[in-house]
Parts: sequence; C-alpha cells; structure tokens
Amino acid sequence: MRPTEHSNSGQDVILTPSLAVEESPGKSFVGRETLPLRQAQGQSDILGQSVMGERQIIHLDMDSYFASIEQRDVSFYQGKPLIVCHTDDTSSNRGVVSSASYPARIYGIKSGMTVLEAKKLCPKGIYIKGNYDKYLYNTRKISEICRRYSDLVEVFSIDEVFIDITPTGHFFGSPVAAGKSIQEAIKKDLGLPATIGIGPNKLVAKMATEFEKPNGFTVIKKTDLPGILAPLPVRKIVGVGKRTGNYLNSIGVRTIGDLSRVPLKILEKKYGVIGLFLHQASLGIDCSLVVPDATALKIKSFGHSSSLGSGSRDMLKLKNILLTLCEGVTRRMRKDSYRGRTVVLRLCFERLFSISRSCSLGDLTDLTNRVYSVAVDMLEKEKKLFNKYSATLIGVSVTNLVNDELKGRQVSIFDLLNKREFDLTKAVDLIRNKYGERIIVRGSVLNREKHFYGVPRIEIL
Amino acid sequence: MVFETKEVISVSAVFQDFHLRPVAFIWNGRKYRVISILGSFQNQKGKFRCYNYAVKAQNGDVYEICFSTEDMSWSLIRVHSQGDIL
Repeated sequence: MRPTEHSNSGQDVILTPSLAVEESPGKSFVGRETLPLRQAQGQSDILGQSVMGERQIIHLDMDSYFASIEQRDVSFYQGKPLIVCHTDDTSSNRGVVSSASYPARIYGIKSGMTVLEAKKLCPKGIYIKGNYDKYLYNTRKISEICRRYSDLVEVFSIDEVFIDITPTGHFFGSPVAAGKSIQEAIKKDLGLPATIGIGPNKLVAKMATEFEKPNGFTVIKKTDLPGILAPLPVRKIVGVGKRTGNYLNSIGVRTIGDLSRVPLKILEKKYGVIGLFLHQASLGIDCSLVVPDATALKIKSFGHSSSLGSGSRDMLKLKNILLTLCEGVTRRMRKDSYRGRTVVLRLCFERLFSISRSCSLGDLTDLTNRVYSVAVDMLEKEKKLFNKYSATLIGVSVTNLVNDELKGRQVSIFDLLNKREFDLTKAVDLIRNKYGERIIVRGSVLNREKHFYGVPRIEIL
Repeated sequence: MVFETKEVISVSAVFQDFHLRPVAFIWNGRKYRVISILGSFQNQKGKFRCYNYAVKAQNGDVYEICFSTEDMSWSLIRVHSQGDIL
C-alpha cells in the first residue's frame, strides 16, 4: 500500500496505488441482493443505484459507539477508560463488555470480553451499564442525518450505516464532499465521532473504514483497488474469521494478493459458494445492493443467550433460564411477525467447548411453550454432560423463519389445537404493549427474571 | 463513581423552543440547579413515552433524569459523580 495523499491531521486518507488485476465476472455476496456485475460496475442505470461511472458507497462506522454516547453525556468521562457493559449490575462481574472507549482499549479491553476479564485488565476503569434505548435513539438520529444525503441508506447494524451516494453525490459537490458533510453533521448535531469509508462497493467501503480510526476518512478508488488490497492480510476481508484465516495461512495464502492468485476452482472446492465470494472479495468485487428499507432485510434468526457466571449444573435453574430466553425470543418474533421452524439450543461448558443442537418442528411457530418444550427436550438429552461439566452459557434461537407480513399467515391445525395458549399469548402481548415488557412475567421465573433475561441477538443475512 | 437508583424526584421544568427543559430538581431534600443539558433521548415504555435527560448540576456532577408520561412523574435514574474517577 502506498498512499499518495495522507494528511497528518488524521482526517483524510486517499489511497491511490497502482497494480492492475483483471476482474473476473460472476456473482457476489452470498445470500445478499446483488446487481449483475456489469451494472454494479456502473455501466447502466438501474433503479438509481448506478449512473455513468463507478458506484460510490459510503460506509459510516461510529467510533466506540456506546462509550462515545456516554462520554458525550458525561463530559468528565472523556479521555478516561470507560467500559459500557451488558449486565444487570456493574458491581458484579457478570455480563460482557459492549463497548470500550479508546483509552480502555489501551488496556486490551475489547467488546465481547467478560466483565470479569476486563476488570482484571483495568481494575480502575469506569464500568457502567449500557442503556440500549439511548443508543437506538441515536442510531435513528444518525440514519435521519444520512437520509438528508441519499434515499439509499441501509442501517447495517446499531453503529454502521451504508449510503449509496451515487445518484445524489453531485448535489453536494462530490461523494467525498457528501461524506465529509455527513461526518461533520453527526459531530455537530449529535456530538459523536464517526469514521467514513468511501469505495466503489459495500465491501471496499467497509474495508476503507478500517484504515483509520477514530474520526477517520478514507477513500478508495476502483482503479487503485488492486494495489491497496494486495498487501493486506486475508483476515482484513469482511467475513474471513479466525478459522478461515488460519486455513488460508496454512496453505500459504497470507495476503489478499495471494488469495486473488488462488484459482477459483480450488476455493470453490473447499468452501462452495463462499469460495466464489472469497475470490471476488480478493479482487475487490462486490455487487451487493444498499438495501434502503429496513424491512427488506432478511432476518435469519432470533436468539437470546445468557452467561451463567461461574457455571451451573442445576437443571431446574437452567430450565427456568431457558424459559425466560424462549419468552424473549418468541416475543420479539411476534412483534416482528415472524414464525420459525427450527429451534437451536447452544451450551458452553466452562469455556472449554460449546455444543449446538437443533430440532425442526413440523410447522411454524412463535409460541413460547412450543419453542421451550423443544429446547428442554434437547437440554435433557445432554444431561450426561452435566455430570462432568458446568454450563457457563445457555442460548436459544429460532431459525428457518417466515415473515407473516410478507407471506401472509396460514392458519394451521396446530394453531387451532393451541388456541388457549394462542389467546393467552395474545393477551400477554397486549398487556406488554401497553405497560412495558417487565409488567408481566411467569411465576416460575419471577425470582430469576431480573438476572436471566438474556442478551438479545439478531442475525441478518 | 456511578450510582444507580430509581427515585421519584421533584423537577422544575420549562417549555422552551418546543422542548421540555429541566432547570432544577430536588433530591434528598437538596436543590440542584441544572447548568446544562448534555444529552437527551426519548423511549417508549409500552404505550407511554419517557423523556430522558443527562443534566449537569452546579456541583459538577451529572444526573440522568426521566419524565414518564405514564404517571406524569420525574425520576432520578443515575448519578455520575466526579469523585473516585481516575
């Protein structure tokens, strides 16, 4: 990588090196809505996603988002190691780190780490409980700001947004000027730092934001792609995790450049469709669209999990927690009008190993008791493991989803058989809609409800 | 130091520029004057709306307070004190 322009202020990086690699045609991002390659390269105008010239995608990544919001609200936390935790009680060591400020990261604290581990690394850090309503409110405000610049705004996660600025960039001078303006507007209106990456597609734009943080601004032009990508480690590709990265390293593929030289057939043989994605990603090709309508996102699963501190072998306790988790999962499914066919149970034992068991139902369901009874059956089957090990995490998710709003709800014989439970669930949902989630809980989980509501998890394809 | 609570408090507030702005509150019999509003957000609790504020009092500490439309009451949610901060 040889950046030709790089400001010392740490504000702009325009990366422009010079090798040339031939792009191979084909599909892209597995399971995502994509443009045909020729259109994605900007040779025709499809639904305003592409005009003459290359596509211009902005990726906006909020810097240590939750911690930045708390630092904005409590000014004397600025410059301090602040750790936002997903926990009921920060004085205990339960829960996980949701976000850490940059000074906290110096101590090695990362998101996903347990609070116990974080406190060992930085005992004098400021540990506060996250307020997710506050963070979601700010995410909505960020997306409102982005929509001033383009209709094609995809809220990718709570702290990441993609904006297709191709059709509207010229109104603001250029896509780069629009990107700068968005960054400034977020700073001015919300007082939050954001990093911007601009590229010819979502994959490259997302990689661009990784070049410089916080408050970074990086532009990668399509013509400069090969030279910029080639020297980067393969792990820099979005979607290449530890396992794939280690395998690629073991066969001598260390950089993205190395990966681009691996014949497609070899990658496809090893990884199937993912092989094609890897090949295209190594060349900086990605035809996935910016999906502006959040409802168009295809939700893959709904899941909740709860860590169990030092671990538990008590089946009754685990069943109670499981019931609370199932309640949380199915409640969210009903809110979003989803029903699912497959129940997945996940257990971690003493942080040594984890198991995942799944069971498919004959029909679709969003009822708590159905999901719970299947999950309990799977838990019972693993009873032997509890003689040897304690469970440190328990999670349940429902996959194989169907959206009733999109496809319409077909009443099955099971709905009629479960009419009593169906009506009860409906009544409880109405009460919760009116008075809030915690207004009504099951008696069996009353004492545990506070501690084991679980960490919501949503997977989006 | 962070102190979490859920106490009903008395708040004086004004409507200014189409916004509700707390100006002072009484907690534990002591009056705190709001010198600045550092952040605010709204959330739903069932069908009721809550208006949340992070306010800086004259003693330099930051207080998170919330107005709930459910019972039209103000609550103190969290206190961030500069004492014991690194």
